Amino acid sequence: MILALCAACPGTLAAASAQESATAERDGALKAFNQRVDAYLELKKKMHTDLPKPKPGDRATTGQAETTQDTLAARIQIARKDAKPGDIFGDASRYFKQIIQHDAETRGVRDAYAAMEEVPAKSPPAVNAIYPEKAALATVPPLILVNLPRLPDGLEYRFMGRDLILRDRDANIIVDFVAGAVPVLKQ
Amino acid sequence: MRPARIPSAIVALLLLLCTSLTAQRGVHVALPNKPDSVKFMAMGDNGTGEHAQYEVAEQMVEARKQFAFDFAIMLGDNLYGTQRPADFVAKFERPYKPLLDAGVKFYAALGNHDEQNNRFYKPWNMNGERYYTYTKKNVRFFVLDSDYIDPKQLDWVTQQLKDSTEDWKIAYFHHPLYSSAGRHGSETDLRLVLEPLFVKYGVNVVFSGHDHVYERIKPQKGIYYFVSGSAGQLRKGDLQRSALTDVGFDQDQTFMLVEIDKDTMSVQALSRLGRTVDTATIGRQTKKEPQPTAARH
Repeated sequence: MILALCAACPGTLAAASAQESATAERDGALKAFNQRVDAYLELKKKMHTDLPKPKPGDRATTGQAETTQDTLAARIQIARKDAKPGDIFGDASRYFKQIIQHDAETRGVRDAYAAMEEVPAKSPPAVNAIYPEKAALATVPPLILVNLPRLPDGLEYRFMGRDLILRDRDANIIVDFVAGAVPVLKQ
Repeated sequence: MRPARIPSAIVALLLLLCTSLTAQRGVHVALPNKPDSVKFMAMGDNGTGEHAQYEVAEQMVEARKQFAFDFAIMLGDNLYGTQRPADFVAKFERPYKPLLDAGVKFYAALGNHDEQNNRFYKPWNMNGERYYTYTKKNVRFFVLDSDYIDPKQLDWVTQQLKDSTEDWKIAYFHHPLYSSAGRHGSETDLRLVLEPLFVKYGVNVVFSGHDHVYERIKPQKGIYYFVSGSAGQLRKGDLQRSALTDVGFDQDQTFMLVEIDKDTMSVQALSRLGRTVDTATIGRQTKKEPQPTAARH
């Protein structure tokens, strides 16, 4: 009976199978992304071992926080001198784009513009570049953040122009980015 | 060549003028000023290093002579532009030196112009954290980093609110959940994630900056909201009074004095010239009564 029913609806079965395969592909890509993030953090940990951990009082007064940040950034830049766009996001890039695209579609145009209003226009970003010192850190809409893969401490998502960047908060450098992650908004 | 002499009559006239200007800039504190109350000052978007910030700081010092607040809350954008050691001096330590010397403690929230490393700046008492909490008598403060409200921070604030047993719960952060200013306005995304928590766990009052105006919002779902983002910056004429607005002021820089005595909070907003632009008395909400949210701005 079941066989007979299934035989009657091959299209449904094929669709379910395609859906399952798409989900597995997505999960695999995001898992690989998380592994590359972990590998980056391992590298960062090695760069950080002999640097003092910043503590209250290190900012401005002693300059230690700035020195640590600059040293860490320089070391990571050397260690990842051959890094290129996509090294961390990899195949997961398209899923990040989908999440952001979906978010944009659920917002009104005014709201979508508001969400992106203070994003620094400087684009394109570059892997290993220092996040511009004077650029304000535009708020990342919390409703996007709850849908993006959760990041370990020290890393964060930010927008720069229409690109989604992965920023190392401690070194203030751009680790990787997804170009054109933010869809073009139509008025 | 002999230096020109200024006639004594002109000197006297100038002195008279200065005295009269000083008198105009005098502060009248209109708060109960009870001996055991919690007293603090609130300011946002202050760190320009420009003349207006210094003038506002002078008024804060004047106000403290009558109303001895012992701490100040900073609502973000504590420094603009470069943030090198010299900037901390020019944009914070110098203007507020009399307050720092008097032992006033500052507790900062980060704004979108603040470098995140500023959490390690000792005079801001952030203990190296982007978000944190502290208590003053019967008041618990929750300081959030509204630039980046990720699930981890949401989990943290939920737990902290849940565990809090103090009479008053005050949250402050840079971006306003409600604002009638034209430049930014209400941060609806933030509101969607934070407001349900504030309502559920009984937050009484929320302070924010970001919009460079002063605005007291009509209570939303039983919570009082203030936008105080003009202690250095000013966006003159930016306030577009709406159904949200209870009182607003966008003609000069402002800061706030706040006093909490038992179940009553009193607030006073003062301008760069010492003029009172708002006073209000708020009773502590003891029972959560859902109120309709005003029209979205």
